[in-house]
Amino acid sequence: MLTSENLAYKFADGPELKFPPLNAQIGEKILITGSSGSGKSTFLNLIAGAIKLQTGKLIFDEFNYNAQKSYVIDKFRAEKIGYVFQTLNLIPFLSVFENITLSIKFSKKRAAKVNNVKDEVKRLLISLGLAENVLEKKTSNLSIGQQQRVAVCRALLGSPKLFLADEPTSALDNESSKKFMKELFQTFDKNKQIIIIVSHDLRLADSFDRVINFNNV
Amino acid sequence: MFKLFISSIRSRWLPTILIVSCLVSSIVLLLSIERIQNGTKQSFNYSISGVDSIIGPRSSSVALVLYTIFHVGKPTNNITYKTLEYLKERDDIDWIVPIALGDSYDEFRVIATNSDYFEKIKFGNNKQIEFDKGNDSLRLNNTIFGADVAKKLNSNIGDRINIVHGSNAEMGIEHDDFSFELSGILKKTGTPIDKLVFINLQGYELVHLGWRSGKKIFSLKNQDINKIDSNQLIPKTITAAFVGLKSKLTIFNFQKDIREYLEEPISAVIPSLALSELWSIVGVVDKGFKLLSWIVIAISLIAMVTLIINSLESRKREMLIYRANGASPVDLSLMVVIEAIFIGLVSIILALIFVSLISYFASFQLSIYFGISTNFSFLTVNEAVILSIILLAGVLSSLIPAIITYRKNLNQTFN
Repeated sequence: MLTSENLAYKFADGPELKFPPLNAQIGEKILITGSSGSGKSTFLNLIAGAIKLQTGKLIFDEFNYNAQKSYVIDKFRAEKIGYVFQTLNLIPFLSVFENITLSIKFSKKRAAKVNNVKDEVKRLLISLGLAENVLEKKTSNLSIGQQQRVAVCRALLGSPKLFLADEPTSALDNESSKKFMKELFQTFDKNKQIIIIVSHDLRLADSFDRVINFNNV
Repeated sequence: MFKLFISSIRSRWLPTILIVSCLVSSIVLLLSIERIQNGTKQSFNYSISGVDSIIGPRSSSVALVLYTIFHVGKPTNNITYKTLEYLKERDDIDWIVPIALGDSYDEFRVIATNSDYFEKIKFGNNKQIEFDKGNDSLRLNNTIFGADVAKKLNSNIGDRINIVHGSNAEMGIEHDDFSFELSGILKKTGTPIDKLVFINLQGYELVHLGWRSGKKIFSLKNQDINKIDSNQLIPKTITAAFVGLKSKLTIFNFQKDIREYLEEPISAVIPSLALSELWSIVGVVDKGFKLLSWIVIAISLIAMVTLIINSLESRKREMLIYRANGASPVDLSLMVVIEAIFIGLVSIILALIFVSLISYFASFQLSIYFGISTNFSFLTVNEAVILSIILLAGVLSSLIPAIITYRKNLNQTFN
């Protein structure tokens, strides 16, 4: 489903990063771990299509990233990928509801997968342990944990086939991290989705099907 | 997408309002100059029609037109009645209407002429002067009021007035020894005619019989008016004369003949040419103002681009979140361009509303002070062209931040 071979990336002012091959199937939960600078986030950026592929092969859902125009990759991301940042996931001047529905704003196909937006948003919110009444709240009134959950709601709205998160629990304490991951996996659709999470926190490893340590590459 | 953009711009409302204010002010400045110029031109041209030439003492043609038609400024010299007699005998002249200026009543200027004035002098597109009340009888002791005079003074037919010597009614001495009876009130024309008090030329001469060099020597109160020799009431001088020619083709020959008239220095002015001369004088100042307002608009647009570029840094996270959710760099650039179009359009609409209010106020003032009616529309073709240029300039200048946005986001990592 998601395969990468011989992937490598070199930033203009840095060394070349080489990545291990990856073969992920639908329903898999993968944790990518490693020390700072090992290339975890760059790998995630390559899969998300934020940066252009330089070397190697990357295919997801029969979409070959090689030599694709950037707007084609953007369109693909809008439709098939949900992405959660480490922090500052939300736009402060938009309400929680508006932040969540951002993910279906840029893809008609993804929007078409959601029959009743409000109901689906509520369903996701509840499954992630948030109350319905946060919908119209300003994002600045939410705790960091709540903000990360809202970001996950956004990434999961419209059932993208691939869920990517870069250190989503870095701002949370241990208990909150565990709770967050538990709720995330409850919401995750095993029959349709792949989850890839980048984290340096190995305490989370038990919850995943597979752990790839970039330090061992 | 539009909703997102509105929310985004709302989060930056203060700088946005400031930049819109800058643009609105500069557009209002430019459009006001344009409108005042066009409106004034239009209304000045509207004020006289059917007159081929104005004969007056040799001086500036603009000054002659200003004081005979628009009653702005004062005549510096007169022409003799003898010259008028000579003109009347010319074969190429169809009609001639003499006028004498100098006296006033209340805040209005008195014009001494004859009944032909109401038949021969036209306004607008060859419109005839019409009477609201009374008739065009302008006998020795009659007066006829323009519409604004009658309205302001709440006058009725049969009212009697004493005019004042000199063009400033507050400073002048009243001709208290002879009064004129109101015989007619004109319909509103939207021209300086509305602010005139008409009297008979002989009547004008009569009230000045006892005057020498601006001073009253004797009063008419002790005189039997009926016994005054009619020859004594023939004016010795007049201010000017409006002339209609039998054929307009003879106008330049006529002008040349008048210039070469040896008895006294007079000139024949063609009203439309004199007005063109006036506009060319005013045009220099006008062009300067226009240039300045275009510069102000350019500065405002630069300020708008600076604002957008500055905001890009603070919107970095916002843009990154859009990108992560599938927005392409082109989408983000488009948002920047839409922002410029939005700011431009809002500024243009607000400016049009302000300009319309200013135009209304200005036309009201022109009407009060000069009796000139102006016909301002909400948006003229010329203005639409100007506004399109401003909008286009805004869009083009927004391409700078749009390109910056595109480049910044093309290979932006999601960190």
